[in-house]
Amino acid sequence: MRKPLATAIAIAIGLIVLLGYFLPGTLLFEIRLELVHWAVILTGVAVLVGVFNLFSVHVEKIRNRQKGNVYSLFLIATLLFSFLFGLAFGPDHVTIRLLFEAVVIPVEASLMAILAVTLIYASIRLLRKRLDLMTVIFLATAFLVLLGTAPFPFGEIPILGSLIRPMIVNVPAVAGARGIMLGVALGTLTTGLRILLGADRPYGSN
Amino acid sequence: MSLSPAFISGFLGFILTLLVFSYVLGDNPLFRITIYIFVGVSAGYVAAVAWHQVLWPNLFLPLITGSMAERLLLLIPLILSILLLMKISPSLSKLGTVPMAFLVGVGAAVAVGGAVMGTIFPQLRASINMLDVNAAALQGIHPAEQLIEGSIILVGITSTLIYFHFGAKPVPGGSAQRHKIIEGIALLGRVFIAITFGVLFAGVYSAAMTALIERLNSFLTFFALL
Amino acid sequence: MSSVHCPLCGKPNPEELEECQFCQARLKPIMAPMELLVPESTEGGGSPEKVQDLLAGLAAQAGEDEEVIPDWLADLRMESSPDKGVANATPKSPEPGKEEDWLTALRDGSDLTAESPAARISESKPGVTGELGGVLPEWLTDLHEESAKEPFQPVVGDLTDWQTDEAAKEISSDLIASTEDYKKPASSSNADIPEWLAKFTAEQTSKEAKNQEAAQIESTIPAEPSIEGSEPMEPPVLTMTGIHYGIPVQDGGLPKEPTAPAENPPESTTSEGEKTSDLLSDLDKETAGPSPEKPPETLVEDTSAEIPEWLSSLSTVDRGFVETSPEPGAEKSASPLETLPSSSTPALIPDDEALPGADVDELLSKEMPDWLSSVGTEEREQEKPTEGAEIPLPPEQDESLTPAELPSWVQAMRPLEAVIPGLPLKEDGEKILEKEGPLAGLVGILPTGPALDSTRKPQPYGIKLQVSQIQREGAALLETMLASESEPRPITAPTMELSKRVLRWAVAGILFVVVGVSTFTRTRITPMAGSYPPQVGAAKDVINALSASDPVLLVFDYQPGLSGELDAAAAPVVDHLMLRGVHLAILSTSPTGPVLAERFLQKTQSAHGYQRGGQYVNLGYLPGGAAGILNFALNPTNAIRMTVDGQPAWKSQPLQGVHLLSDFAALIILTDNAETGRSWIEQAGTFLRSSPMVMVVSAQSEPLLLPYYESDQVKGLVSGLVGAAAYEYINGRPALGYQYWDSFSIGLLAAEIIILVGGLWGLRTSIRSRRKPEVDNG
Repeated sequence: MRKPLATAIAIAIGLIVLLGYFLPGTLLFEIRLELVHWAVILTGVAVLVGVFNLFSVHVEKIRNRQKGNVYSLFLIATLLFSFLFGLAFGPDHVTIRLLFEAVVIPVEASLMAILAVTLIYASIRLLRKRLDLMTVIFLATAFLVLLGTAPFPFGEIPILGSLIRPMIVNVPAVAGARGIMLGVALGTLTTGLRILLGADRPYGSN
Repeated sequence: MSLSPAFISGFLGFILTLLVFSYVLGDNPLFRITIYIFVGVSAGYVAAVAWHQVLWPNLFLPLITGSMAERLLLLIPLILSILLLMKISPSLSKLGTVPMAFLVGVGAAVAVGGAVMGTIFPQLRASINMLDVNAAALQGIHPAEQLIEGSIILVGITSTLIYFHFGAKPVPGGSAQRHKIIEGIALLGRVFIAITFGVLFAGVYSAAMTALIERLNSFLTFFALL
Repeated sequence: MSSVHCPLCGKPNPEELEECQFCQARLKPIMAPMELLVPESTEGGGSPEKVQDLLAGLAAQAGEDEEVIPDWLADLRMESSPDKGVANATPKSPEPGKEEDWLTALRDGSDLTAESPAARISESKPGVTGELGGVLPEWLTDLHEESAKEPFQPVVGDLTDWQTDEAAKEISSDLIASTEDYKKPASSSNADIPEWLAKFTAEQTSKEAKNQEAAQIESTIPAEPSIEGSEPMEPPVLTMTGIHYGIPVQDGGLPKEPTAPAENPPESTTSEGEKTSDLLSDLDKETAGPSPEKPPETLVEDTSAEIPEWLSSLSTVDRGFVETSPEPGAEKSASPLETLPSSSTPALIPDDEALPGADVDELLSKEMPDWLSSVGTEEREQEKPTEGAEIPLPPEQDESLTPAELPSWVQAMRPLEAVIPGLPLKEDGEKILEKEGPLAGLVGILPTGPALDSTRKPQPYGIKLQVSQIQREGAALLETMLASESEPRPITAPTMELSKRVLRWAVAGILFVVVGVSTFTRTRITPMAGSYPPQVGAAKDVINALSASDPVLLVFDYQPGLSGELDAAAAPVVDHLMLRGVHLAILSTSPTGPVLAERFLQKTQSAHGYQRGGQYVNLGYLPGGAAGILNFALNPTNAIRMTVDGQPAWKSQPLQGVHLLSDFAALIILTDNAETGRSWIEQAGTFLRSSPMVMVVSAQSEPLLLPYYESDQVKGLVSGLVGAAAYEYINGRPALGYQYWDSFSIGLLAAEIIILVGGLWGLRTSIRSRRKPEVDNG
C-alpha cells in the first residue's frame, strides 16, 4: 500500500511544481509555492534525522566497544555540548561562535592547506604511475595555468599571464566546461523525468 | 596575555592546526581526535541551526501563533515531519517513505526546471552567439578571432558531449565498441576535458595554497596576542 | 518358490519358466551344461562354472605341457576302457559303423595324459560317443536326441587326421552346416546347437594348432554331409577345441594319423556350397603338418584372445566327453559330436578372453579332427559364401573393447556363433543378427535403441539428493563467500615505502618553509599583475552602478575550509559595496554561512562600522538547497521570516520595500562550489529580471562558472586570490589579497618547480621502465 502511495505522491507533487514553471499567476503557481515551502521544512527535519543518525551510530560503536570507540567518545561529547548549548542559547551566541572559530574553521582550513602538499605529491607521481597522452595534456595544462596565475617574485613573464593562460582558460577550458555543464544538465533532466514518470524510486522501495 | 575570547580561540586554533598538520608525518591518534572533535562540533552546530532557523520559525511558531488557516495548512508538513522522524527507528523507517517521496518529487521538479531554463537553453544560446561576429565587433573583438574562438568552443562542446555517449555495438570477442567516427570525436573530447581538468587542478591548488597561507598567517595573529 | 533372475533384465522369474516373462530372454540354457561332459572323477563336474573351469583348465594344461594329453581326453579314453572312469553324462549310443570306432577307442582307455592325443585317440574305440564316453554334456546329449539329421560324426579321433587340410575342410563344412541348421526353426534340430559354439569353433581353428593328435582325431571324422539346410542338425560334440556340430565323418572311421595330410583340401568345404567359418579356416591352417606326438594341451598353449575361456579350460581338466549314441537309421556315420546330447548347454567361453597360458591353436590342432581344424584357414575366410549356405561371418570384435565377464550360466546360453570365430552366420532377411552381448549370434532379436544398449540392470536411484564431491566443495566455497560478505573487513593501512614517505616530507617541508618564511617575513617582492581579467572589471562596474541604500543580497555559500580564500576574494568586493553605502541582506544556504558572514564582516569590514539591523541584516540559514533557493526566489518574505537574532526580517531597515527578489539591486553570490553557484543561477536567475548577479568564487570553481559569465547570466566574476588582488588593484584599496600576494606567488613558484622537476623525473623513470622490458624481450 505504501509503495504505490509514495510513488503517486512523488509524481503528483513533482508535476505540480514543474507545471508551475510554465503557468505563473495561476492557482497552480500558489500550490507550487506552498509545496516548495513544505519541502524546505522537511529538509530541516532531514538535517535533524541525519545528525541523530550520526549520534546513534557512534553510541552503538561505544556500546559495542568496537575499534576506535574512544574517538567516538570525543565526537559524542562535543556534539552534545554544541547542540545543547546552541539549542539553549542559539547558534548566534558568542560561545557558539567562539567554538566555531576555534574548532571548525581552523580544522577545516588546515585540512584544505594539507591539500596543497597532497596535490603536489600526486602531480609528481602522476607521470610515473600513468604515462599517456591525456595525462601529459592534463599536467602540461595545469603547469602552464599555474605559471600564468601569478607573476614570479623576480618579475612577470608577459606571454604567460596575458596570452597563454587566458587563451587556455577562456577557449578550450570554457568549451570543455560548457560541455560538462550541458552534460550535467541533460543528466539532471533525464533523471528528474525518470523520477516524475515513476521509473526511478530513490525514496525507498519498502 | 589575557584569556580573552580571541586568545582562547586563537590558542585552540593554533593547537588544532598543528595537530592537523601532523598528518603530513602520518596518521596518528591526535589527528584522529581532532577530526572527531571537528565532526562533533559541526554536527551539533548544524542541528542547533536547523532547529532555530528552520523548524521553529517556519513550523512550530506559526502553529502556535498563526491563524487557523495557517495552522490547518501547517498540519500537513507537521505530519510529514513526524513521519520523516520515523526514519530514525529501523522498525518504523517505512513510515518515512511518504515524506521522502514528497521531497524527491519536489527536488526532481526543481532540478528539471532549473536545468532546462537555467543551463540548457542559455548555454546553447551562448554557444550559438559565439559565432555572432556582429556582436563581437560591437565589443571590439576582431571577427576572425571571434569566429576561431567560437568554432573551437563549438567543436569542444560537441566532442565533449559525444565523449559521454556510451552507446556501442557488440563485436566478436565479447566486447562492445563504438563507431569509429564516434571514437575519433570522443578522443578529441577527451583532449578538451583533459584541458578543463588541468585548469581545475590549477584552481584547486591555488585555493589550497591560499588556505595554507591563511593558516600560517593565523599563527602570526596568535603570536601577536602573546 | 525359488526364482531365477533373468540374465538380460535382471528381474526374477519363476524357476519353471524357460524364457523371461518380461524380456523373453532365455532363462534356461539351450543345451545341457558342460558338466555333463565332465566325469564325476573330475573336479567341478556338474555345473556350468565347473565346465568353464574345465575348459580353462584344458587351455592351461595345453599351455603347460605340450606333451600332456588333456584330462578330458584322457578320461574319454579311460572311459572307453572298462577299468577306467566314465563320465556321468548320459551316454548316447554311438553311431553304428566305423564312426564309433575312434570314439570308442578313446573310451576304451587310451591314456590321454601319457600319450599323444592322436595316439591315445587311435587306441580308443571308434566313435565319438566312445571317445567322449560319459563326459558329454547334457546339452550335447539333448542335441543328439532332438536331432533328426544323420548323427554327428565323431570328431575326437586321430588327432593327426584333424590336421589334414582336406579333412578339416570337411569338418568345417559339417560344422557350418550344423550351425546353420542350429539356427533354423524347430523343425530341425539345428536350433539346438548354439551358434556361438559354432562360431567359437571357427575361431579356435584360426589359432596355431600343430598337433599330430589333432590330425589323427581329425582323420577319423567321416565325410561331411551337405549343409544346405536339408540336412538335419548334428548333435554337438565336445572336443578339446570346442563343440562341433553335425560334422559327418566321411569315412566313418577314426581320425587319421596326424602325419597323414588331409585327403581333402580345406577348399572342400566350399565344394559343397558351404560357407566356412574363420574358426575352421584357422584350424585348417594350424593343423597342417602337426606333430602327432604333440599332446592336445599344446593346442591351447598360446594365449589367444579369440579362444573362449570355456574352451580353453577344457584342456586343463581331466574330463571326457559324454558318449552319445547316434540316431538309429542314420546313414551317415556318427561324428563325435553326435554322441553329445543336443540339449546340452554349450561350453561357456567368453569370446575375447585369452585362455590363460593356453595355446588354443595347439589345442585345436591337436585335439580337433582334421575336418574341424582345416576349416579355419584364411582361404576359407576369403571364399565367397554360397547362396543359402554361407553365412556372413560376424564382424571381428573390437579388440579395444573388453567384453563384460558374463556369469557362467549366461555363458552357457550363449550361442555357438558368439564364441566360435569365423563361423559364418547368415542374417535372414529382416532379421537382425545380434553381434554383442549375451545374445550374440542369435538372429531375430529385437533391436535395441541407443538408450537400451546397456543390458545392465538399471541402478536404483534413491530419493536422497545425489551430491558429488565437487558440488559439495562448490557449495562450501559459496557459503564461505557469502559469510565473508557480511563480515566487516578491517581496513589495513597501506604500508608506504620509505622513499615515498621521504618524498612527501620533502614536499611538505619545502612548501611550509617557503610560504612560512614569506608569510612571517611579510615580504613584498612580487609585483602585482599588469592586467586583470575582464570579468573582474565587469564586477567592479556592476558595483559602481549601485546607489547608496540600495538593498543588495549577499549570499555566503562557502565552507569554513575555504574561508581564507573567499575572505580574501570577497573582501575588496564587500569593501566596495560598503563604500557605495548599500544595505546588505546576508543569506546562506549553508548552516555555517551566517556565522561565517558575521566573522567575515568583523574580520575584514570592521572599518566601515556596519551594524546589524542598521546597515545589514542577517537572514540566516536557507534550507532546502535548490528548492530553498526557488522558495526564496518565489516568495522571499515567506521563505525567511526572521533574522538570526530573532527579529522580523522584512520589517528591518535594510530591507525596507523589499518583497521580491527582483527588489534587490544586486545579487552577490560568494561560493566555493560550482554546484551551488549553478543552483543560484538556475533558480534565482529568472526572477532577478534586471538586477545583476555577481559572483565571487574560489579558483577551483572558476572554470565551471566562467561559461555562465560568457553567457551573460552572471554579470561579473571575481575568482580566487588573483581576482581579489586584481580587484584591489583596480579599486586601489589593498586588502587580504595584497597581504597574501607575495606568499602566494612564492608558493606557486615553488610548486611549479617541484612539479616540473618531479614530472620530468617521473617521465624519465616511466620511459626507462618501459624500455627495460623491451630490451629484455629483444
